[in-house]
Amino acid sequence: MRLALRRFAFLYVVAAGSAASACDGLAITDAWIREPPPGANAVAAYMTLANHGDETLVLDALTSPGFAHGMLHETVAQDGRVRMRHVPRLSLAPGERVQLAPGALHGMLMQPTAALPRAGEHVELVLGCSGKSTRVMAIVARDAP
Amino acid sequence: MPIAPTRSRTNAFLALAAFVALAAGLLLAVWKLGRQPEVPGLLWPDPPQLGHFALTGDDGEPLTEADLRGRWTLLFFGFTHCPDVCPSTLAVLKQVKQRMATDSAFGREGQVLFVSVDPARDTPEALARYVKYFDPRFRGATGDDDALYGLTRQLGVIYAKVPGSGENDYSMDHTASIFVVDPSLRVLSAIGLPHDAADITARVRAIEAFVEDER
Repeated sequence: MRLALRRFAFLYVVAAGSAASACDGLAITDAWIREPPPGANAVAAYMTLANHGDETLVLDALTSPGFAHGMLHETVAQDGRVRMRHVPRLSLAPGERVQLAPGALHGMLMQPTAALPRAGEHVELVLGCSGKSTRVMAIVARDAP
Repeated sequence: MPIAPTRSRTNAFLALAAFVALAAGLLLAVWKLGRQPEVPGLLWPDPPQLGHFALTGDDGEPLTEADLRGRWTLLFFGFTHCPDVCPSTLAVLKQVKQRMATDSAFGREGQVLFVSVDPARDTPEALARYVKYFDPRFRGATGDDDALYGLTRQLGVIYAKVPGSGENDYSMDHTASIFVVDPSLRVLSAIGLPHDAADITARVRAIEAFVEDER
């Protein structure tokens, strides 16, 4: 699985964005996934999202073929205590940028079904827009804070 | 008749001595208070003193307050299935330790202790694999709720299990401050989120310098 992902990583770029989709206008930069520490069953994904289109974008899915579940999450700190909040939908107005970053909004992939990625390897990430279309890309695993 | 002047002279001397002592005490207090703002987040004066607790270390052996005595400790609570904050903060603490490696007591012989609030999934073996992934010298510890309470109640740490989709698929809410404990078990700071390596390094350095200066 991992080997296949590495070898065919370029294909995801080709596959990205089906014609005239609800994900049109979505720009994703600086995407990475944390290299999972031993024993982890959930991994966070980070990136910068921007809406370069004229319509509001609604992200409502975040998954990966290597994981049973995936979703948008937000780490909320209150009185020094952190909790995780499921974010079912994320709207981006035209021109808006949103950062998915450690300790804040992030993608969460749970229950790995394949070997977990090591730093430098890629995993496939699928973002869904308005329940209609998807954007597929390969994102790199990093050993970073 | 000669007794009265002697007594009044003695009284005057005592009054003067008391005044001087009081003024010196006040000056010292003001001087110490005045220094406090130099170290942001320092719990001073009267930092909480860590008392007895008994957890199980990642080697399966008891881990108590005695394991914190004599060296600086950065203490952080979490769980290994935590995807965002815990690995991020532990990676930050790895950088802090590297930055302070040679020129501070924490860097030279201090420790990072990760206490899991999820003993059901975090066995000592699982904890050892997890913390040593970040740094071979990081230590992990956990215990049942009673054992954890022995430490958490002293620090005001709270945690709670949040059910997920399956029996083994739950999350934990938890306090995410980094506690700075000095070699004599004084809790000198609780560093809240966001955790940044440069900021934490500066704070720990400042706290170390303050304590050194206090001696």
